[in-house]
Order: sequence, then C-alpha cells, then structure tokens
Amino acid sequence: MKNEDVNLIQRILSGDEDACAALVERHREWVHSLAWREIGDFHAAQEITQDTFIQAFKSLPTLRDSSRFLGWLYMIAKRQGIEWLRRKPMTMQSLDAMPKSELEQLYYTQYLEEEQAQASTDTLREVVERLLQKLPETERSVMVLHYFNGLTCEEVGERLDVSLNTVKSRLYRARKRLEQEARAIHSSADQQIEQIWEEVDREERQFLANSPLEGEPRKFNLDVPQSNSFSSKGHLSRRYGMDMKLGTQSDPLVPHVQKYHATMGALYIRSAEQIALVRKQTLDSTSLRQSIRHERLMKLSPASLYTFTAAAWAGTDLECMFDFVQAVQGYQRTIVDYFHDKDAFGSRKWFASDRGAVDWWDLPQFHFDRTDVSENATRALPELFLLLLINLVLFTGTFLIFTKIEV
Amino acid sequence: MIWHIIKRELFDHINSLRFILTVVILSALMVTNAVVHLRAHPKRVRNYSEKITKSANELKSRSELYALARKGPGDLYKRPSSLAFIADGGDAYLPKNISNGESWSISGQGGEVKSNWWLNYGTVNPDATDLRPYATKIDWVFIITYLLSFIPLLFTFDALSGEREQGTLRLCLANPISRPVLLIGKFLGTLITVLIPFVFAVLLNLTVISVDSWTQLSAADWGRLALILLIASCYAGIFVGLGLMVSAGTREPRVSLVVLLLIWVAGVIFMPSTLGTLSTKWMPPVQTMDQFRDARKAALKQINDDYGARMRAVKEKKSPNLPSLSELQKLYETSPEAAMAAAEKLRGTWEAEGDEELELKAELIKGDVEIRERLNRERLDAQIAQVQRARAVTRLSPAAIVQYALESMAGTGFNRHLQYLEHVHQHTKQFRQFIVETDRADIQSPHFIGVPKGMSQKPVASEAIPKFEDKIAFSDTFNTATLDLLLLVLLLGVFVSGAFLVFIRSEV
Repeated sequence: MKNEDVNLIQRILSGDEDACAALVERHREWVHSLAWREIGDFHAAQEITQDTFIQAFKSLPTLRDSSRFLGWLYMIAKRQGIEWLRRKPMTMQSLDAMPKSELEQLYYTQYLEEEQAQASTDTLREVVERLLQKLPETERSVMVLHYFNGLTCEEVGERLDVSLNTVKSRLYRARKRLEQEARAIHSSADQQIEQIWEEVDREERQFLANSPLEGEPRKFNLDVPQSNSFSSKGHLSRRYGMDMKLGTQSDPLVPHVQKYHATMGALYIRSAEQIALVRKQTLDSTSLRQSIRHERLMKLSPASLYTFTAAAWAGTDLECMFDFVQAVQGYQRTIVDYFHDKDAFGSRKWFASDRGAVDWWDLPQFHFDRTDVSENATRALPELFLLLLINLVLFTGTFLIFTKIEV
Repeated sequence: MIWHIIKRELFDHINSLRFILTVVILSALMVTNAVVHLRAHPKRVRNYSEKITKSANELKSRSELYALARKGPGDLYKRPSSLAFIADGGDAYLPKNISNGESWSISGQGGEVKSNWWLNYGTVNPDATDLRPYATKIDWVFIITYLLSFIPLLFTFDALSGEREQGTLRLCLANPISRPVLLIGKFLGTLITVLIPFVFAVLLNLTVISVDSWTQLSAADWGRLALILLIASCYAGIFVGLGLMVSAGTREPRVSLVVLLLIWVAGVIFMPSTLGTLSTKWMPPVQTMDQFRDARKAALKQINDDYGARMRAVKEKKSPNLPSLSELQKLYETSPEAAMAAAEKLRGTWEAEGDEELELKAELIKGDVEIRERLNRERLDAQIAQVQRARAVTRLSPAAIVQYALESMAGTGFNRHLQYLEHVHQHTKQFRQFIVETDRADIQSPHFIGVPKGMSQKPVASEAIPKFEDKIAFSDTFNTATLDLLLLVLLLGVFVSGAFLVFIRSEV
C-alpha cells in the first residue's frame, strides 16, 4: 500500500497529472471522513478535503520520506480542520441550534462507528506489520502469504516450495513469537498515547501563539481578584479557586479565552477518544484475543459448554460485560453531545462564575438496562446447540451400538 | 498367605479396564500439570528475580541513615515455591509482596515532620485485565483430592459385596484364612493397585518438569516430595478403607457403589467448598475498612493533638506572644508588609530545632509507627483467625485436610503466607535494630530516631544494611503440615478399623 503511494508521489514529482488524480482517489474518502469528524459539517468537510490536497501537492517537494505520506497528509488535514474552526464565525452556532432529524443523527452515529472500526483496523494492521518485521524471513513470508494474501497452507507450500508440515510449523512458531511480542504492543500503545498528548500540547502552543492570551491557562492574563491566605507552613499563598470572578478589565480577553476553551475542549475529547481506541486495540489484541481462544478451547468440554450456556442465560458472561462498557461509552458520547449542544466549552461559565452558577438540571443521567431474556437466549443458542449435538451424537452412538450387540 | 491374597488382588485389578483407565487419566493429568508449570514457572521466577534485584538496588542507593528510617527496607517479596506445580494454593489471592505504605508530613509549630516507614500488609487484586474464563487449576492437589479418592472407591466397591454376591467370599473363607488377613490383603492389594498408576504418573510429571532448567529441585525439595507421596498414599488408604467398609456392610455391589458415590460427593466436593462459607456466618465479623480507618484516625489524632500541645508549650516557653495564623491574616489585610515580616519571624521560630523539639518529633514518629503497625497487625490477626477457623471447620473433610497438608509441604497457600509474614516481621525487627545500633555507634548523633537532624549523618555502607531473603525451609513446611498429617493417619486408622469391625460382624 505504502509502495503504491511512493510510486504515485514519484510520478507526481516528475509531472504526471494522472498520478495526482490517482492519489486523490486513493485517500479522498478518509480525508473527508477525518475532516467531517473534526468539524461535524459534511459540506465544509468537502472543502477541507479539497484544501488538504491542494496544500499537500504544493508542499509535496518538501516531503523528505515518501513512505510517511499518510501521516503527513493526516497532519495537513487536521491543520486544515483546525484552521476552519478558527475561521468559523460565531454565527455558525446557529447551525447547532438547528433541529437535527433523527435520521441524520442515526447516519452520523453509524458513520462514526464505521470510522472508528476502520481506524482500529488500520492501526492494528500497522502494529502487525511492525511486529512482522521482528520475525525471521522464513516465518514472515509464510505469515504474509497466509494471513495477508489469503493463501491456504497448501498454496503457501507450493509457492515457497516447502512441505505442508513445514508451512504449518513455521506458522505455529511465528504465532508463538508474535504472542511473545504482545508486551511490545503494550509499549507501542504507550508510545501512541504519548504521541497523542504531544500533539495536544503542540496544538495548544500553536493556538496560544496566535492569541493575545498569556500566562497559565487556569487564569491567563485575566483580571482576577486574588484571595490571600497563610498556609500552615506560614507562607503566603495566592489562590484562584473554581469560583473565579472576572474583573472588568478582562472583558476584551474573554472571547479569546472562550475560543481557547472551545478549541481545547474539543481537542481533549477527540484525544481521549483516540486514546480509548488505542487502549481498546491493545485489549483486543492481547487479553480479549487470549480470552476468546481459551473459551473456544474450553468449549471442547461439555462441562464448560454448560457453564458458558448458563452464564449467557444468566447475563453474566463476557458479552454482558461488554454491553455495560458500551453503555458507558454511549453515556460518554451523550455527555459530550450535551456539552456541545450547550456550547459549554466556549461559554463564559466554563471558566468564570461571575454570571451565576451553571444549571445542571438537564444533565443526562447514566442508566444501564441489562439485556432482556430473548437476547440472552440468543447468545446462549450456539452453546445450547452444541450441547444438543453432543446429546444427539451420544444417543446415536448408544443406539447404534445397542442395535448391533447380541443379546 | 497374606502375600498370596495381595498378589491375587493385584493381578485381578491390573487386568481390569478400570486400571488401564486410571493409568491413562492420571498420566494425562500429570503431563498437563507439568506442561502448564513449564510455561508459568519461568515467568514467575523471572519476575521475582527482577523485582528483588530492583528492590536491592533501591536499598543500596540509600546511604543516609535517616533515608533508611524514612523509606524502610523497600519492597519485600515472597519467594515463589519450586513445588508450585503441586499446589497452587490460591496464591493469586494472597499478596506477593509488602511495599511501602502511604506517607504523611505535617508542618506548623515545630517545623516539618515527615512520617517513617511502617509495615503495611498489602491487599491483592487479581489481574483485572485477565478476561480469560475461569478454569480449574490442574495441580497435584486437584489430582490427589479428586482422583485418589474416587479411584480407590472404584476398585473397592465390589471387593467384598461382589464376592459375597458371587459366593466366592464364602468359598475363600472356607480355607484356613482369617477374616482380618483377608481384609488386610485386600486393603494392601487395592492400595498398591491405586499407587502404581499414581507413582507412574508422578514420575512422568517429574521427568517432564526436570527438562526445564528453571525448576531445580534441592535435596529438601525431594524430601518434601517424598512426604507428599506419603500423604497421598495415606489419603488413598482412607478411601480404600472406606470402600471396604461400605462393601463389607452391603450385600450388592450396586448398593455399595451408590452409597460410596454419595459419601464421595458429600465429603470431597460438597464439604470443602461449603463448610468454610457456612462457618463464617457464626464468626464475629472482621472490622470493615471504614471502621478500621476511623479507629486509626482517632488513635492518631490523639497523639497528634498531644504533640501539638506539647510543641506549642515548648515554643511559647522559648518565644512568648507568637501571633497565630488568623492574626497574621487579619494583619495582612491592614498592613501586608508587617504581616509578611511577622510571618517570617514566626517561621524562623517554628523551624528552630533544639533537643526538646527533636525529642517531641521523634516521639510523634515512633508513636505513629507503633499505632499504625499495631492496628494493622490486629486487623490482620482477626482476618487470619477467621481463615483459621474456617479451615478448622472444613477439616471435617479428608479432601480439605489433604489439600492443606499438600499446600504446606509444597510451600504455597495460606500457611506459606503466614511463614512469609513471619519472615517479614523478623526482618523488620532486625532492620530497625540496625538503624538504632548504627545511630548509637555515632557519638555525634543526638539519637532521636526518625528525625533528620536527630540521627547520624554518617553515610551507611550498603553492604551493612540487612537484606531480606524469604526462604522456604523444610522444617517450616513440615511443622505446618504436622497437624494435617496426623489427622490423615487418624482417619486412615478409623476407616481401616471400621472396615475391619464391619467385616467381622457381617455374614458371608
């Protein structure tokens, strides 16, 4: 995939216009999705996508390493999105006030979920590719042909001119090695999270560089009356509490602070979602995969089958735990939407209390409804079916033996 | 004659299908146990080794005596047993180490005082990210408690009732063979039959385990293994005796099989898992965490208040008419400069440390450590007592007795944890003694332990600092298993005598 991009970039640099179109075609969709997610406006996202590619083609000669094109394009798209948000006039808030039809909401949510799943697959693929580099050549080629190119073990054997058993043993060894690298996935997840935070810091610095705001973000250079008190150590300490009241000299800076919090609030939420995604991938690729494998193996025993069936019926299995996690994630999205609808981050009440306290009466409450019996029954069906199958096999076996024995 | 009966029993059993099944099942389980151990043990040993090295390095870096008193001996780790494959012992639910607890500092009159290290018994939270479904651990305890109780019953349920039904028992006793001789012959013949596949499976298990360089068994370990085999034999003997007793008392093999199965389910499955839980209902409840914290807070408040009052008296004696913080606050509103100057003076007086202040601080720290450790110990003792009582009740089942005996001998489980705590207590005592003696050896030190200025300022040689080493000694493991071993021998005697009495009184 990367090689194809590199080829296209080389062709573009040598003046091939068709390559431009091909490159746009390859990446247009995800850039648009990214922009749409960033700003929440479908049509504006199309403009941003266009601007992103124009900017990218202009700066393409400065790209040192063509293999890092994707990350580079991603950064340009994000910057364009942020730029658009900064340019966005305050009157654009009227869009928020527009009633959204349920259908639109549904499509949007579906889109976000698909997008998250795609991002998850992409990142996972990257992790796998990185891990593959750690395998010996013989094992790597077998893994790539079997898992990435979808060849059967026999086909892999023919292609590499080795026996079927060799292919299988190489696959086994490679899988074992990759399992051992699971720890590395954790550390790479930590690195990814660190990168996300670095990105947040960078964008914050970038924002503040173009803003009249100075000082620590807690109060900037606003006119805030201080409360002085002596600590138990006898030192004088100045405190700016959560009940920050602004002096009149702060008025010109207030819109900038509001804009800062609006931008940073959205940025923090996005970063938190990215981090959650990274952590989920780590969990999926280590603990969850391990758990599923164990569960499958245990299903060879009728006793375990019975345990899993009973757990699914009772609603105490792993699926039910994920239902709860999903409910929490849903609640998190609701809360974020609530804040966005109220324009909470960009409001004065977000950082100052001189216009009265915030009214939380309509803050959405968390509730979790356990799945109903029919859902539990559906989940228990595969195991139940297997149990019935075992019964049937045993009965048939007994029947056949009994009919053949002499009395 | 007895040898002839034993040989006949052995020959009959070895040629039976149940013997072949026993060999296959026991071998499969023992090999599974060995393979699982080969995968898990190196990780356990590596983790332990890495952690004690890290802890030792941290300790070495503390060259000041005060730093040793404040931060303590570092994390104290429990050594994993090389015989962990014999008994898992629920070690995942017991703390693997004792680490430094929370620290505190107070400031104000008398300047700053910082807490010293105290012994804090940790809690354990099994790995929350482990989403794997729960699966029974296949260790020797599982194999012995379930199979070495069930297999003897399979071999004995028809030993007497079957022969009685077929009429061969009458025929046999028509010969010059006494009933006791016949019974002992059958008992020994069946026991040997059961032990042959078990010993074979054990040897298979040990052969696989010996392949791994991470598990190196010492002479003491082999001694423990020999005792474990003795315990297993004793346990199997109990069920051979039980099987013969029931078989002697019933006329039909199917009746004796049903009775034995019921006894087995009750004694081996039901009793160990439910008696402990039921017994806790009649026990005094252990303090909740909130109650414990409240009690500790009240006790600490008392010594803190006492310290505050005494320190205030000392300071007032030295510098009368010191302003309070609220007075400073008021003064700041009218004259900030004067308030700042007064605050500076106040701080100077507070931070001045004479012998009286140092003594008060040392007393506070010592009292704090004593109270925390006493309350922690009381809570731990209450928890231990509850577990001990539950274990005492579950000892009604031979399966529980053999489990406790095997855990003790393998160096895992509850008794092993108590030994580890004992080692920690001894080390703590030795470590504190080292601090006091090192301080005492310095004539320039004012000898107020726990306070920076009150202790020796000379650097401490890292080699001289006592090192914690948790060892699993044969004598410790044997002593803790003695009670269970005696109970097993007693039960063996009871069931063999019971079988004898029933057989003597029964009609052939």
